[in-house]
Amino acid sequence: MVGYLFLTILVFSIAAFFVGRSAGNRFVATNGVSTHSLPGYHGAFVAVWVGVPALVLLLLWLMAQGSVIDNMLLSTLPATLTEAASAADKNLLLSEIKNVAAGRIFAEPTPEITAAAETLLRWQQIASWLMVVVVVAAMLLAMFFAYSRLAPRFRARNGVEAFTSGIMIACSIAAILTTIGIIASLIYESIEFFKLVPVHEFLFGLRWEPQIAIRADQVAGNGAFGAVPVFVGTIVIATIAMLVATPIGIFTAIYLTEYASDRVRNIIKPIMEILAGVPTVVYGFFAVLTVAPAIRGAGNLMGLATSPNSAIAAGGVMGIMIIPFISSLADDAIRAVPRSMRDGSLAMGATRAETMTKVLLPAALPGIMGGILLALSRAIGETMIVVMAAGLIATLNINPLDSVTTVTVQIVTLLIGDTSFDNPKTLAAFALGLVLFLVTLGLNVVALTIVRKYREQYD
Amino acid sequence: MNAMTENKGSTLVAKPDQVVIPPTVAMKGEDVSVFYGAKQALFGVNLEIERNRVTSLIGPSGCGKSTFLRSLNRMNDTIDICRVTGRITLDGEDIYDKNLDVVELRARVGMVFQKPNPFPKSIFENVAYGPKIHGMVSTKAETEEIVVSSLRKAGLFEEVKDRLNEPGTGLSGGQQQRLCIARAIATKPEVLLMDEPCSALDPIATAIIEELIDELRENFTIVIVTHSMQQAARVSQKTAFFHLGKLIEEGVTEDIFTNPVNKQTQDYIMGRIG
Repeated sequence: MVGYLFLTILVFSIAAFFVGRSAGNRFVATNGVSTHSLPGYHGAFVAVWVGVPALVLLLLWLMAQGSVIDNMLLSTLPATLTEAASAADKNLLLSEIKNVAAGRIFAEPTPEITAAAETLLRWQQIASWLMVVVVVAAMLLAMFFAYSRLAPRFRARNGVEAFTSGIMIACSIAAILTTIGIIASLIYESIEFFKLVPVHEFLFGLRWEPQIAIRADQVAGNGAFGAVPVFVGTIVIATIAMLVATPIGIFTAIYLTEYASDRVRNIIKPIMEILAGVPTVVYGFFAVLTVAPAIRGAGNLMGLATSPNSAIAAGGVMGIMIIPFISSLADDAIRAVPRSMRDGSLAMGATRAETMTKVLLPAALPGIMGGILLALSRAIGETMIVVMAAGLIATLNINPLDSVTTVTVQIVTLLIGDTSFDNPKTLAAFALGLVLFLVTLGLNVVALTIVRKYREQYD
Repeated sequence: MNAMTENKGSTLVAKPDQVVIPPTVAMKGEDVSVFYGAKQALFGVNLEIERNRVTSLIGPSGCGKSTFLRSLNRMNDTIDICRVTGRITLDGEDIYDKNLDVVELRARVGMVFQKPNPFPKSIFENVAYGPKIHGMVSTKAETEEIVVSSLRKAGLFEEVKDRLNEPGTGLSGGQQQRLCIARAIATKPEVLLMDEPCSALDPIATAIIEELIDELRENFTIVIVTHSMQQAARVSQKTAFFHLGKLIEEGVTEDIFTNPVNKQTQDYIMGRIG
């Protein structure tokens, strides 16, 4: 029913467009160039007026309908069922009624429930017909209103312009609202967590053993939520990744901008882009199946105790993953240094290497720093590679040959399997997520500030 | 100003108080053609650059005058598709010779660009850049001496002496251009190439630079590309007119401007083409 209604709105809008346009054509035919707007704008104006309010009305109706009917339904139920019931019980009751109404019957329902289910079905039918009537009426009304405003000097073009900018504002607001929603849910659940585990214990505690029982019949530890080992693990892996990615990325960028001929550049650039396009899960395979055993073998040869899922394997592969990040941002930064700087230095008789180290790199340094920080925030937030290749046990160590775990790995493991949102095990994921969010946000803000400041330097 | 007159490899140095000696040739282009890919930008140019004189290259946009200028210190090498044929000599030495070190050449043939391009470093570091990379200085005192004398010669020292450690990019456009001149003369080049050095400057800054060019002539050979014929007339002793990649006419500036032989030159100077 609702689907047909959306279709109806679309059809009405299209029809309205043609009606409006024909009116516009008429104005042009009689008034010529003194008509304010092109016929198409008259059409679009009417179409917008017919379509948009109806659509908004329909969406609001759909949002409100469910809860209105629920409340009405609850008030018709006998007092014995609803009087002492908590909100959760009422919800159970309602879903039982809905199940019965939809024909999903698990046990013999009581007569009250059956009766309520019938009422529900009847009301839903009435509501949907009412909805059709209201929406169609709204469209006809809007059509009449919009059409009556059309005139040769009517500024339909400006009206459409206002609508277009409105759409753009709505789109950007959608992104902002989503962000706010995500932050709010993170903060809300984190607060719940910090009610169970004190903040200082979480931030400074040295033991991380979150696998506690969430049902009475489970066998598990007592739990400890000191996140320091997890943070340390993240720092170790991110550091390894940056140690791999930064020099390789920057030297690649230098080579590509200053030394490579166009032909070589045209080969290397796409390859770097392929590297950037490899799904992280594939990097994960690579880390687990190729790099980790190789490192273990090399470690054994040298007589070093190497864990099968060593930090160096996960970090190293992650470093490879973020090379394109750093190299492309460093490339941009070096390229953004005006050609006149390069020419000035070369004209002084500097070699290309001198020009690079003494003029271009210092000038591009802020941009390169920005790139490195963005890459770092990416490394800290990266999940798939570490889930596959890093360890699960949070041990407090910084030995790159040993296994460490990261914030993202812990979030994933905490939310896998049985979850319950009144339990610190599950809620801890949100606290970790919040920390991760704040750190990457901070890094991004700093990086973007640096990059922006640097861009202004040459404008 | 007389303190610094050490032109390497030159046997003749004109001092202002000396009797004017007939000019000698510092650089010479013989049948110079330049190609950008398949497109030929310069057609068989023959031109002599006389020592301690200002030679101005004039002509409408795209006539090849900047191309010729940039081939004098091989800055065209930085463009991949660029190819130079013919012979260009500096003190009789072919600068496109395989055995010639381009880095050394550019220390001997300095360049000032159209838009002031100080490095994003301090004023001091900007001027010290060339002497440092060429190993011309070994102590801090030597560096300081060369920086101060270069800034003096560029007529900038008095304006910036209290802020040598501030970034060169913070100066005004005219000051920046003089800083670039100071930077270029710090390596004590024989020839100084200037590619429309005043086109980004206001008339007052332009006048200061023009005066400076006249002073610099005592110690350097100068080649200047300019769009302004008045400027060419004011600062140069010799003028070469380029059109469509060809050298149309060259000669003593006064003659070119008062009595051009070629019809095209005449048209350009009268403002009929370009």
